[in-house]
Amino acid sequence: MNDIRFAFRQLAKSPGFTVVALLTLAIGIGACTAIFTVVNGVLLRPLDFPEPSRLVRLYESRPPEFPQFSCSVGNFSDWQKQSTSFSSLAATYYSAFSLTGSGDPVRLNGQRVTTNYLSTLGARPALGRDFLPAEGAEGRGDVAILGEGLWSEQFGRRADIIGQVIHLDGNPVTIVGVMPWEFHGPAIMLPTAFTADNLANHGSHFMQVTGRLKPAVSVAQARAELAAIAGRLEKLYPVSNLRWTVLVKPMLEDMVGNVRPQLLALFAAVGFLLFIGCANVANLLLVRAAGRSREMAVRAAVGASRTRIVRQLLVENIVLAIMGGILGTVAAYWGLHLLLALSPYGVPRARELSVDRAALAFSFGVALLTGIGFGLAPAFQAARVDLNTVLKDAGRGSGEGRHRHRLRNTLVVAELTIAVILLVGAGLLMRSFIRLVRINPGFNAESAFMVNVTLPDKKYAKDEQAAGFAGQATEKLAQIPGVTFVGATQSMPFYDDYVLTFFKEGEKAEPGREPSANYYCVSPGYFKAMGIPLLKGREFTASDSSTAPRVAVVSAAMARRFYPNEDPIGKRINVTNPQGTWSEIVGVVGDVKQYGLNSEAPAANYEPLQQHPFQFLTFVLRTSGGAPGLSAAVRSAISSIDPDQPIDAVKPLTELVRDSVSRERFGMNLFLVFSGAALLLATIGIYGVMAYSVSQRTGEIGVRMALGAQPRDVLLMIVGQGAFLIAIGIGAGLVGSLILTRFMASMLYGVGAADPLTLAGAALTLALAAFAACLLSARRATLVQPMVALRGN
Amino acid sequence: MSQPLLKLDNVTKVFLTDEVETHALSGIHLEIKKGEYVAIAGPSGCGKSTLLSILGLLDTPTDGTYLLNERLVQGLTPAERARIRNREIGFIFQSFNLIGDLSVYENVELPLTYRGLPAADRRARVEEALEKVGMAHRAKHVPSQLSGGQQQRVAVARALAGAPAVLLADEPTGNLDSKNGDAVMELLQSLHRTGSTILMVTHDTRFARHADRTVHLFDGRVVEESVENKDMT
Repeated sequence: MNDIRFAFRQLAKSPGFTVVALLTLAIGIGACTAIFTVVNGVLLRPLDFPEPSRLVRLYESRPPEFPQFSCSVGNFSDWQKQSTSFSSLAATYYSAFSLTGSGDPVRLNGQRVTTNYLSTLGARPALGRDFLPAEGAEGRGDVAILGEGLWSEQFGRRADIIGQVIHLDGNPVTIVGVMPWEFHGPAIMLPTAFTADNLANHGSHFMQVTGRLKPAVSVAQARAELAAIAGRLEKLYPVSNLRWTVLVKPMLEDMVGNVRPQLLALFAAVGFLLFIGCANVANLLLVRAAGRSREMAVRAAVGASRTRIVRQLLVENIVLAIMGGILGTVAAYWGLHLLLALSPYGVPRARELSVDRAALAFSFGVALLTGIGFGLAPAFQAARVDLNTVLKDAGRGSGEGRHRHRLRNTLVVAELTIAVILLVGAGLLMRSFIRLVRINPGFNAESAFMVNVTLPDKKYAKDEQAAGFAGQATEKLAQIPGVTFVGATQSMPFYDDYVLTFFKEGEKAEPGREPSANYYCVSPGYFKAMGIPLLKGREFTASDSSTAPRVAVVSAAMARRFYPNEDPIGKRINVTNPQGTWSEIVGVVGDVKQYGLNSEAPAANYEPLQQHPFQFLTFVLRTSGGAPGLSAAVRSAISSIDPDQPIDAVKPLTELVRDSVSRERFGMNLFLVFSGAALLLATIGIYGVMAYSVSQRTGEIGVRMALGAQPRDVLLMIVGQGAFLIAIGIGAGLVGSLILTRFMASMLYGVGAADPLTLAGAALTLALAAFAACLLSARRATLVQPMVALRGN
Repeated sequence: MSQPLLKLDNVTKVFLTDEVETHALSGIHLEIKKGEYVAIAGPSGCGKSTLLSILGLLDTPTDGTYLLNERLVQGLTPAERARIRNREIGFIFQSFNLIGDLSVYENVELPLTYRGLPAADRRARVEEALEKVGMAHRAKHVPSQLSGGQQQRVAVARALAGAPAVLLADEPTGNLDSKNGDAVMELLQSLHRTGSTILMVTHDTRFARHADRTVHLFDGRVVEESVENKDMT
């Protein structure tokens, strides 16, 4: 207890040291705890469902074209019937609804689910009940379960919402439940009913399947069983199922697998940052220990054993670290909010993240380890006093041994090494990001906007109705002042995709190996609205109506891949069904990146929307440099056609492109912050070591100057000493970078993990900063007055 | 009559601390000729070390003039002063002031390095100086491996190596026992016999007697000058 009281007194006695040490520890522990919270919450913590390890996701797969694909109703139904590995299998699929009857129509992003979906997950509504099995029968699906968000925003969290009737797409639907906040679900869920036609369809893939394994059944066993079932289905349905197999992935892995490398890299980076901070604090402790050698000698002289002195110093260091940990936890709380605010859309489980007990335990553990790990060496150093020398030579601040020098130098070299690694990491991500955003997506996102419209099934059941709406909306939207071109499509690059197999006229494809391409149904103005260049032939026109001969436009990639040595214009293709109507290729347009800037532009097949109408529509509006009040104008235009038709928010295409690299930007920004902090701390570290060295060598510098050393000589001597440490640190850092940045390879685009420019840039940046710090100390050394120094000595 | 090697004319040194003026030296007149061995004696705080610092160009007088080798050394830049210290003056300190991280050889070599002499030249001079003080066999040792007397002999070798015009010794025996003190005084005596100009600060009258002449300071003023009668001693 006395030691603790004394520790606080000591810290209060040196406020400068205490503040600097606490801030350094708080930043290090805070950043580390914040990132740990994310890593723990996203990667490590089990899903909030009972027995989450039994939950799996199932996908269909036909590599290499479709390595992970949605499931068909027919296959899902067969898996349910034939599999014995699962206690239940459930399916969901996206469905948008128009909520009408209370003010403006609202577009809801919902899901149709099999009635066992929630019970498969082990989730329960917070209010009301789950779907009943009978509600999965055809004609009985007029019930809904709300998500907590929709319940709050649209229904004011009314407890009497259960049993209320709302209107979706004009149909009355009874609300039977409300999901809790923790449930990561859609705005609204409705039960799905599969018709006999649906159940017989094995080729139309659009569902996500979730399974709960039976107790004691492993994922590997389920995989083996489903592979066998897929083999049987392939024989039964060769047209639709040839070469299709089943992927079974643990649900947590499926949800977070793609962010794992980035989070782990960030965790490593922040760990490095903490180390640098701790090394700085350890250096401060060493300097402080040197200043307290007389105190330690007096304690030893009056009978304190070495262990006793080490214990006292260790208590001081642990008290300091725990205070740093407390501040760090507060910093982590703010840091986490900042992190989540900056984090890209779609970080899985982000809603669940909070500085919880695990984070507190982590923070406390790190603080304790920091206190012991980085306090032990300085404590031992301080306890190692030569009583005779120190007590006899009290005023001179001597007793500074080579070992203490060596330890401080080692710590600063380690700091520099790690700073180089972080700078290289940040540099690689930055160069990668710069390359990424310079990639032409294939369309011109500037001054263009998009808006989604989902037409209700019943109201627009017929193709002519959907086509009529698309035509009218295009016309109305084009009349908005400032809008220069309008186009419509059922599939937007960077947003959603639609991949279909197709047949080339005159070529018989091997069953199961039919070529596939991204499929777009677009209106006549689409290419102009998107800024996709026409390379050959013509675009679609109003004359390409439902009654006109079928036509298609293909992308350059499709032309290259499927018509390598011939002109595709005039050739005919047929989507999905060789017995259907053939479409003549009338034009070739530029390639468009579909799946992000760092992906290859896929082969793309465009067909006229009027000939293939869809209920899911995205309108693209190109403006002449911006259109004030565009959202209201779009809403008004759509409303003038169908007052009950809701629309999504109007979104700039630049946002679509920006969002597509948000994960890369997030990782880069965090790395830049961490490496900037590392650069600063390492620079402070070397400055501290050099400044302390100069203060310790004042006498020596005085002697040298008395013997005729010029200021230049002193400057070179001090800078040389620093340059030696810098050179070792940077050299080790470059070697470390070559080893460690290989693990970042999956996060890089267009730049190798051993990119020489980045390595040189990082080394140069750190060398300049550290050199400047040395120069500052060296300049102070040149100002030493030889007489004053000699007197002091 | 030959010109003095060092000449101070009406030199004063005033230290200002917190508005308090301390007159460390007042109206000092002093001439030292080439080949002379002069002791400056006086009690603690009388200004001996301040006087030596001014003579060694480690400090500047507040007033008065200082001629070294007939050259006025006031108003020189720090770099010029460093150059003169390096070439014209050899220092011997009470606490030796050897650099702990350097070997005996490197310590002696240090002023020659600052002079920019070629390595071969330096080597010859260092070896000669170490021979002169009887420390050649310890060239590779570091100061902590030597006794106090040996360290002071190395310091003398360092002062000699550059063949300076004058050796300034500040209480050279202050940190030594009597036996080692006598040995160092004997060394200085032998250097004087070979023509070195030596100016030594001491408060020990026993050692002051080794000099040709002793300047007595008190409260920053020269109160007496005595010439030693070597035949009598």
